[in-house]
Amino acid sequence: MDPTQYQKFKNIVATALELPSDKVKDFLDEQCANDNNLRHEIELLLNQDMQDDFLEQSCVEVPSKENNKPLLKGQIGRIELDNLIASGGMGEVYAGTDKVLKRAVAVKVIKSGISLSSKGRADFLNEAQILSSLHHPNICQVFDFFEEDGKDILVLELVEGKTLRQILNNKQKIQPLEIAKQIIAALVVAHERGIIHRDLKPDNVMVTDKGIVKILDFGLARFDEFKEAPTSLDRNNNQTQIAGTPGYMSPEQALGKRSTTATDLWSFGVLLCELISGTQPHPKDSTVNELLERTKIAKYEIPSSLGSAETNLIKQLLSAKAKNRPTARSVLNEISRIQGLPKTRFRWFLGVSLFVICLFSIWKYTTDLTVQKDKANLARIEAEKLVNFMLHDLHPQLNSLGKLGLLESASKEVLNYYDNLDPKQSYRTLDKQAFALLKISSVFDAQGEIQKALDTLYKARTLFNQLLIEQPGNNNLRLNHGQTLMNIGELLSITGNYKDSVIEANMAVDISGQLIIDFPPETISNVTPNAHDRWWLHLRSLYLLSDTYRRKGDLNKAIEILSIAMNLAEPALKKLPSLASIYADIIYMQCNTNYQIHVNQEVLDICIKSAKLSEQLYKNKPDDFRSTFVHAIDLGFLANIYRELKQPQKAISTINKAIELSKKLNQWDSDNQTVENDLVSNLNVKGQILYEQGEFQASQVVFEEAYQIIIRLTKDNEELHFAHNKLYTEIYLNKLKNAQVTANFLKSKGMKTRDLLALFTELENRMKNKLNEK
Amino acid sequence: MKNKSIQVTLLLNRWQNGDHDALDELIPQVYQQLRELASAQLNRNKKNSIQCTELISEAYIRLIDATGVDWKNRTHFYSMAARTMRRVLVDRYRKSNANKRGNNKTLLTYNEDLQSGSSQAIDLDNIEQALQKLEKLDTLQAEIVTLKFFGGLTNKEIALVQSVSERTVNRDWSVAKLWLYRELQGS
Repeated sequence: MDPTQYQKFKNIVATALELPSDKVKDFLDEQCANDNNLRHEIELLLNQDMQDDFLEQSCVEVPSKENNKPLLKGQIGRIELDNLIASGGMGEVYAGTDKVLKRAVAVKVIKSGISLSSKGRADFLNEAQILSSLHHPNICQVFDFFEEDGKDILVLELVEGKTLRQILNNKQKIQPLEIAKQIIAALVVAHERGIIHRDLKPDNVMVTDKGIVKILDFGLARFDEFKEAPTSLDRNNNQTQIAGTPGYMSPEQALGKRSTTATDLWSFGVLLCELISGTQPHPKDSTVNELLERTKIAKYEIPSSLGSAETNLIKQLLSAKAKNRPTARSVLNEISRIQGLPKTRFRWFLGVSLFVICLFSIWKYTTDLTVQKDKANLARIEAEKLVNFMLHDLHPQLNSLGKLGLLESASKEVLNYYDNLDPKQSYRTLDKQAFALLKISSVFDAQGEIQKALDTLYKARTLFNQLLIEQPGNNNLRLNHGQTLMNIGELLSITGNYKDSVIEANMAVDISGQLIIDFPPETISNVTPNAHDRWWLHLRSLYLLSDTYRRKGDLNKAIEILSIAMNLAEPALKKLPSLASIYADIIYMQCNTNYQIHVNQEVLDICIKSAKLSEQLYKNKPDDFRSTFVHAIDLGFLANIYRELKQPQKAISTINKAIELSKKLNQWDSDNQTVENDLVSNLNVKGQILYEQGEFQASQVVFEEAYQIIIRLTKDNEELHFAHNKLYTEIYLNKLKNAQVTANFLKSKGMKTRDLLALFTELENRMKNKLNEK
Repeated sequence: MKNKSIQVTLLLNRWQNGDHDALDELIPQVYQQLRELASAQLNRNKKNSIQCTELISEAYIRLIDATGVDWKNRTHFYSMAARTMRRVLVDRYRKSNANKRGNNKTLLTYNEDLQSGSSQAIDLDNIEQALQKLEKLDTLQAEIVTLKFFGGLTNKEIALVQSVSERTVNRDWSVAKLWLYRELQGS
């Protein structure tokens, strides 16, 4: 609205307010005429439920800094105290700076009146030690613990954000399961080291602006346990009672018994219920005493609006007996499972795939029943039906959900099954086997088991070769053969075996090239394979070939192949719109390859085009795994180019979008390593943007998050891009010795991308600086 | 003290007689006084809220020799003080909260002491942002809100200070309340 429009708007509202209520409608009809927007704005304003005394009392709330005079001033040890950020019954918390390590910290001073028995103190010290050795992204880290002037002092990670209590009170939009998952992930780590929180509740859970959960005050409730009885709470008014600890306390705590790890799971159950439904499993206006009584007998009501999986989980968590509650780890698994079902209609697939896996394990026995041949034969027929079902029906569905991992154990069973067939049987099903192997390899690939995927593909290649000798004109076989070679080439390329990759890719280009001769994209016929499959394979093979040359550093060759691909793809797309995704891939490759040569406006334009294409595909299918994944990659790439072109604002907003998508993908399939690696790539870009903007600390936080993921990924996966990302984080976190090891590995593989070379330079510079410092 | 109040009263009268330099001298005095009073009020109440009109009345009593001022000048003092009040609050408290989204440091569970501000209190940052937005749409209306909310002036007094009719003030105020209410709900 501009000032002129506002004047009109204001006058209509003011007059409407002066009119008797029954005249208002006619007046608005007359004034707004056809301007529906204006009318809508006016009605929004008029129909508010405003308190009468709004703004009539001149009272403003100011930030609390000024009126809280810290009791501690100046410095404790090497920590300079800044301001008091919270105070309460147990002590005070200050923001401060560790002057040696140059990091922001929180300093918690426990009031001297509150002290523990020597046993309790020893236990607490022990826990504080364990906690300080514990680096978990969801636990507020303990840096130090010591005593000064008879006060116990904890030095903690400074967490910025809102408490879950504030978020729930404000009815802020959140992803309940995502938050729950992060909380339980923290509990898994703590519990497995014997640390109990003892007072888990929304007030103790912080959520940062980036949506990262940090649990505070681990084990601190120990100070409470030895303090006074909960009767002191009785004096609170009713409103604060429901928000306080009694609602979350476990039956054993209410009965004054010892806490165990299961205690936290009860509290988590209450929290989970509140996260999902917005309310605790207790009546809203309960008093503290009522809550305590309910807790003692483990009485609760879960709102009926919750889904059955969620309800069951909460019921288990709220078991009266501590020993009946599930462990944190199994709860984590269950939440991931529930989360993995983005829509209820997909739940069916999960059920079915679990069913298939069960059946496959039964065959193992039935196929062994060589004595009862009939039964074994019957089992075989059933088995083949299931393999068919799995590969033709389940595979594509699960693939689009990014949940191929669910087929992993079934795939292994299928392989076993084929291995155990007698030669005659085996020969008859050769084509089915070859096809099954091709699909199964993609399951292994998605799980990051590259060697297994390759082995499976090599087997499939042998079978296809064998089959093609007998039926050289079978185009379905040729297509699948080409696909197999292309997949082999892709895996070889990402693991740095460029020489062999080029051979496989070239063969795939040849095979698919023959398939599109006399088969233009607009061909409509019942002949299989159809035009889309043929053209897709050809374009994809060209894409792979150029990608391999790019990785190798042979950029001229890469560009040459890309122009061939473009010349084919552009006209083909007009005739066959389903080629849009491979077309987008080719544009992405153009963007990426040109980027290796130089960064300028022209490259930026190509990359923007690429991101726009993938955005379109993503918008058409927001629930599709691949389109989301591709768009996340494109945005990450684009952000990096903005960074290089010194457009930090665009870089940051783009990378934030990319990270959001990566995280969504990671939620869909938390085991998919490629997705996790992409998340790391995007975090690295963000880290570097922040670093270059002088936001050193923020960048370290981002790199640390990336590092935690990539360390896990590179443990047993040789993919070069994983190593590349590892190097990235190691350099920017100044872990220079580790970085050198990683760099040497990458140098030995001959990978020469622009980003990698930039990393090598950065590493060299840092090493030099380090030497100079010495 | 007495001398000071006579001096400030003189400044006020000079300003009202058209001496603009007097205003330049007057504002820092009022600013300083309001600042001190705000701190004192915060310490006294142990809350994070400030009653603006109370402070201005107090500043008036402290700064002005009431016997030497007519009601019109008193009104002008209040309107000037209302604007100054807003500045005091923003200057002093905004800085510490400059980065509200990223800098919202809280870390404790038991911060009941810090959260007991009056439920009617309006978050300074929110009202300030909303007012700045309104200023861009309608300067006069925003001014009316400032005088009313921060200074507690009556509609009649505002009409006098702004040289508009009382009806305009009434109308602007009633719409502004709804408009701000909506803005604040969104923040």
